[in-house]
Amino acid sequence: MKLLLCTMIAILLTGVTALAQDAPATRPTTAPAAEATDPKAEKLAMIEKIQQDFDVPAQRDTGLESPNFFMPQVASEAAPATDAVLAYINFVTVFFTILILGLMFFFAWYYRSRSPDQPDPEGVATHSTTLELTWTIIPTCIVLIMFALGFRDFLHQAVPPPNAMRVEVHGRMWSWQFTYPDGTVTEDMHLPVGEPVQFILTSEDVIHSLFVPAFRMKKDVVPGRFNTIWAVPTVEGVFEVYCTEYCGTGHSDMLAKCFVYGEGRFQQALAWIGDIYTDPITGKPRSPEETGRALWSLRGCRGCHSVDGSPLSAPTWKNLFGAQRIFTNGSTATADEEYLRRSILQPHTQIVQGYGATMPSFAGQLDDRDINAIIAYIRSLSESQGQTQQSGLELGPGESQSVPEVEPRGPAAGQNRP
Amino acid sequence: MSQGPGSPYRPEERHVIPARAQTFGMIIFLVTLSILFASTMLLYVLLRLMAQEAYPPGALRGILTNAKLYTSTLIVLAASLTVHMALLRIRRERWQSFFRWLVATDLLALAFLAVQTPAMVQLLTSPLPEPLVTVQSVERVTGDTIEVPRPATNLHRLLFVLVLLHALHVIGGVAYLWVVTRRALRGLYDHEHYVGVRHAAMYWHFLDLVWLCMFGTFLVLG
Amino acid sequence: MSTLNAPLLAGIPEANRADVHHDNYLTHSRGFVSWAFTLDHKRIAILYLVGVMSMFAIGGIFALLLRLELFTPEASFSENPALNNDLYNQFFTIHGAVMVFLFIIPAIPAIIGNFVLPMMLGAKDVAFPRLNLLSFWIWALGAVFFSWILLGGGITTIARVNMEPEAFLAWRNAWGWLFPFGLDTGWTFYTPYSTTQSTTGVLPATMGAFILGFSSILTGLNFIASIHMLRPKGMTWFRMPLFLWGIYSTAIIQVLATPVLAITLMLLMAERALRIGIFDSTLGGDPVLYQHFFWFYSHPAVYIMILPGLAVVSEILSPMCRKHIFGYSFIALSSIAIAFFSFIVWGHHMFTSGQSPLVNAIFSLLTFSVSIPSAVKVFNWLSTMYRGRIMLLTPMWYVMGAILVFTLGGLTGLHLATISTDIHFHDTYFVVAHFHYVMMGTTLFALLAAFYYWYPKMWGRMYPERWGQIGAIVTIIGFNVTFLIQFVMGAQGMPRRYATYETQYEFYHQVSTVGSWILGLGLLIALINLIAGRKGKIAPPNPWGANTLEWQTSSPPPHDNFKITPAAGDPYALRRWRFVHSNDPAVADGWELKPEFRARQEAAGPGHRVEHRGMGDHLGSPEKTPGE
Ligand code: HEA
Ligand code: HEA
Ligand code: HEC
Ligand code: CUA
Ligand SMILES: [Cu+2]
Repeated sequence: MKLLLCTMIAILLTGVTALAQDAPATRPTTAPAAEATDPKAEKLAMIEKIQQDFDVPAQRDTGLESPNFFMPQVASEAAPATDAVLAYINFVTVFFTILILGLMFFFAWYYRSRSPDQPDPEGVATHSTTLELTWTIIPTCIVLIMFALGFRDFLHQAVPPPNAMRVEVHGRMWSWQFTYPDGTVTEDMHLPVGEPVQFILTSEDVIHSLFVPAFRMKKDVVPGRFNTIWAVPTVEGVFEVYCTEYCGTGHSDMLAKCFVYGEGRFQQALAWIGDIYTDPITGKPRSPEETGRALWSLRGCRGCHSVDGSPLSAPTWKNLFGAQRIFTNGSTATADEEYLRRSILQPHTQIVQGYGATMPSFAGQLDDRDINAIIAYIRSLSESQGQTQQSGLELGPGESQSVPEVEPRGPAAGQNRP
Repeated sequence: MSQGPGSPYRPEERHVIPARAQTFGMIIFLVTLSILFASTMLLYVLLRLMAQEAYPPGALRGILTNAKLYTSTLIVLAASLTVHMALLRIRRERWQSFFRWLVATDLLALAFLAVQTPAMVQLLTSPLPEPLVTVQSVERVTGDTIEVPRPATNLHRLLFVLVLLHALHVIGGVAYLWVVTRRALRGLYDHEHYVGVRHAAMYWHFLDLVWLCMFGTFLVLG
Repeated sequence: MSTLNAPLLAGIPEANRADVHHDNYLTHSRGFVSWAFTLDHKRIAILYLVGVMSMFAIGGIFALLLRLELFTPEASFSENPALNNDLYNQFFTIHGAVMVFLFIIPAIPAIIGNFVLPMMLGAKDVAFPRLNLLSFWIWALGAVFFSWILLGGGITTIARVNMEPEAFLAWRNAWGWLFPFGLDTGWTFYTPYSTTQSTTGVLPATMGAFILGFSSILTGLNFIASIHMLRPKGMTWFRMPLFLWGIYSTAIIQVLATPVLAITLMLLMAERALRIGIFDSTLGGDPVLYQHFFWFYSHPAVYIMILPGLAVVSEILSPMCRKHIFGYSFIALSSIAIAFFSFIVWGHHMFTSGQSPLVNAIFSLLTFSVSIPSAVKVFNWLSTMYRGRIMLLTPMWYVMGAILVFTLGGLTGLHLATISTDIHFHDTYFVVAHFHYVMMGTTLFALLAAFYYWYPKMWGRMYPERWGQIGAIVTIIGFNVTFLIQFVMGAQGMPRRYATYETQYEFYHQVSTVGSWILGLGLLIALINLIAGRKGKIAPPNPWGANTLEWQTSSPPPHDNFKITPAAGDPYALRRWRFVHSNDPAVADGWELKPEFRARQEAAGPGHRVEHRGMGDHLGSPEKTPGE
């Protein structure tokens, strides 16, 4: 029986080892063109585009092999150091596990009772101070070494170098937003290889946590605090970014990618990705609706507002435009441009019935052009675009020059991008 | 205590629970409660210090100079005294006097609640003095600075919760005193059996101490 | 039915032999009221047994459901991703909260502790029997709050699935107060999510946990007072059974740490209702402050969960190896040391929260201190097995299972205690695996070992041995299949509390889900086995030849345990007992006191005083058994 148990575990371990070594890369599961409206497929198209245009390696296993078979690839300066500490702990763990379990099963078998009538053992020791001291002192030394290794490594990770590029990270339910020194805003992480980057983390609502497994980097994103963490990416590639602090319905969708670019390609990529008025895949200018949709995703509206009528924590945008709104104080209004603009800039003045005052204000974060684009997008989501359609066409002054009018608008636009 | 006192206890004979064991239990109970109150006070101190900038010292003074709070402090001290007097009397089996001190304690306990209730209502409803929110300038990575609001804890409501917590324990104490009074009326105490009175006294001294610590903290930090 | 044959009763004082069929605590009185308002510690233990194990079944069913959801990477419970995620979030929250607050904290102390503690003390009951009953009913009230949430969650989910969104919102506005929408905060209730965002039953749940805290405090208080006040003559502190040392250390934590949970939850409720600005940064509070308060209780709480488990292992190991426990005083003191250290390590749950590097370093260093007394225990257990005569019976299988998983779970605690590696492992499945190894594994296996070991005493019958062992082995295998792979998955980066995940983790999750079915099967076998045991052979007073006092009364014990307090000596002087075959096929084999020890034992009336002669039977002088 116990042999069975041992082999079970051994088989399991070897199986896992074998598996971990050729863990499949995040392959596009389904990405046919017909499903271009699926956000997941869109994301995959983006990743592919970046990989091609900026020469970012597609394979996940570009990183150095970790000395620990079960760790993800090594892609930052800190990762090998952490893995070295881990190797020591693993060694201790495996050693003591084998020692203790080996002895336990051996004793259980070797000293098993053959018959209940057998006499009890005689003359065996019931204590030994020497032994007790041995197994107090040796583990103490072992754990002190462990602490020292871990602490040294941690200290290094705690102090960012002064020349680090600073990136602002906003966590919100349920998307990430990265702001770079030149003002570019992105929803994925874009980093130059070999340069230290310091992240300044802050949250707009609840606690989130920024985790990049390949960097062995994690820090909570706490509202009201500005936590920082830093890393030096060492390998070009695409890595995962997770939110690891539970934050509600969309916690497991709060994912992003980390793109690490080779020499000189980072600025280029940032300029390209930061231009929300141009479609990154086709390179064509976006219509206001398309820009609005991009903003919906980029600025995190997506986390709370659905565009297909499914219920999230905030009213859906489907058929919102022109609809009658009822507020918590009993008053009503029609959802026209003015109302939508107010809802975005001062969301707390009127709270829609059935919802809480959870929406953050976007005053100062979205300019007129962005807001107009969002409104255009919301309008495109309504089947009856109402009588207010005409007035809705007036765009901001700077707008008409840079964004070419795309005609005709109408249900077709809504179909393309629900 | 290396040697157990033996276990003379039988469940059928309830009164056999040794008084020592009961008092021991009471002491553990009070230790538990002290941790409860100590942690609230720690929390208050932390929040008070965090709110320092936004909340100029002395802002609570309007509340803390309220005569009601001082009156209730005096009452609670007096109740502690009277219940102790009752304890001394029952030990000598001076019934009349014992009973009088006990009733005095009851009345003082009720008076404490009567005085505190309006003070608490005031705490709950009174708005905070301005400014509630200060702003902090934060430099963004883009170079521009933004103003981040720094709200302040509503200390009035926090005080309310802490005082309420104490008041709930006082209500518990009143209920216990009531039981003790009834048992005294039925003549269940004498110079040997007065554990109930002793525990009432211990509990009341404890509440007293807690109140003094709370009030002192509020005054020092307020 | 046959009565016990005479040899098996040898050594049990005449007065302590209850007539098995006519007077024992199970048959002493009848009717619902005689159970619901009983003051008998043994009956209260049975009440807890029924209540706590039902809660375990509920928590377990939610575990199976959440594992089922994780079988595929996509949303698999509903087309609607929001609904699917909400369901999943509720499942793991309810699983965690029910398991922690309703199952594992009361499990060993309230069931096993209540049943055997007074008997181990040779006492007739705990120090405060009324308080004991009160703790049970407070526990039941707490369970009512959680059941309310379960019911409300179920009804609201049905409404949500079947109604139009607008109608559903209107329905919730009208009925939400009566039907809380389950609970989705995680068992940790982290702010500000729990105070501002969650639309679920945070108030009833925190109220429930708050109430359960009182039950825990009262139980702890009762046990401390019992151990201080009720020890019989001859039982010095260092002659106490190790189980009592474990319960005593646990009780100290319960009494000193639980008030902090009470206050934390109270302030959480106040924050949610009154918006004071304690834990919510938009109101001037600090969410990290909440974490400090929460873990100041909840870290010691994990030792409330484990210490009784380790105590059961220490207690059962000696009779199962037919050998005096090795290093008694080190095992005893290590429990106290763990209890002490448990209060100063809470910050290790917050290494990534942004607390200062210095604080992180201090907590990391302190955390390691707990592993030393744990190591001492493990090595002493091994030495007890060395040169023993190991009876591979069901309790022993579970005990070995517990040692196995405690070693692995504890050692992976070291990965988490080291700051730089915890930064990678924090909030991944590595942590999930760690704590299931220590709490689900160690404590549950210890609990099952205890069920089997004290089964004859509790019910007066022997369980079916073969199926007991099969159940144990299936459970141990299922457990390791479920959770071993989660270490790998976590290290690869799989975050916890994820309803959907990336395809690269699919294999690991599927193995884990299949493991959970094996585990469920093993537990089902154990359950059926334990129920079937009620028709088993009649149990002798001392089926294991153990020397603690609960074996010196009949099985099941009479209503008031002992008419004559048996003499207490070294609780592990096993050589006073010898094995006898039963001469009646309806009665199981058992152990009787050797004749040379019998006369003294029979004569030991109340107040009989036993001389102390050191701690145990020392090397080379096994006959110098103290107490004789
Ligand atoms: C029964 C419960 C229990 C027990 C006993 C433990 C025991 C330990 N735990 Fe665990 N822990 C939890 C329950 C428990 N834990 C839970 C529930 C969580 C997560 C909560 C949540 O977030 O939801 C958690 C999380 C947790 C964390 C935070 C992880 C994170 O979120 O980032 C840490 C970090 O230090 C930690 C460490 C430890 C350590 C060092 C021990 C030690 O006590 C272990 C000591 C034991 C041994 C060391 C093994 C025996 C000794 C030997 C085999 C000899 C050899 C020894 C040496 C060489 C030292 N635990
Ligand atoms: C004691 C505590 C305990 C126990 C026993 C368990 C038992 C199990 N747990 Fe859980 N778990 C937690 C405490 C516990 N857990 C906690 C605290 C969390 C964190 C929650 C959070 O994040 O907030 C968690 C989270 C958690 C997760 C992570 C969820 C996530 O982060 O997304 C998972 C995933 O696999 C899991 C799985 C399981 C499984 C498969 C079992 C199985 O072992 C269950 C087996 C039980 C059964 C199958 C029931 C069958 C019962 C019977 C047949 C009756 C038997 C009766 C007798 C023998 C008398 N648990
Ligand atoms: C944290 C969640 C959240 C985020 C992020 C969010 N909102 Fe909202 N929003 C809400 C909630 C809740 C309401 C309803 C209550 C109210 O009226 O304020 C709302 C209401 C609105 C309304 C009015 C809708 C109606 O039904 O009348 C508009 C328009 C709007 N949001 C636009 C936006 C835009 C644009 C963004 C992103 C740039 C955004 N929201 C991001 C939560 C959010
Ligand atoms: Cu954001 Cu989880
Ligand atoms: Cu801990």
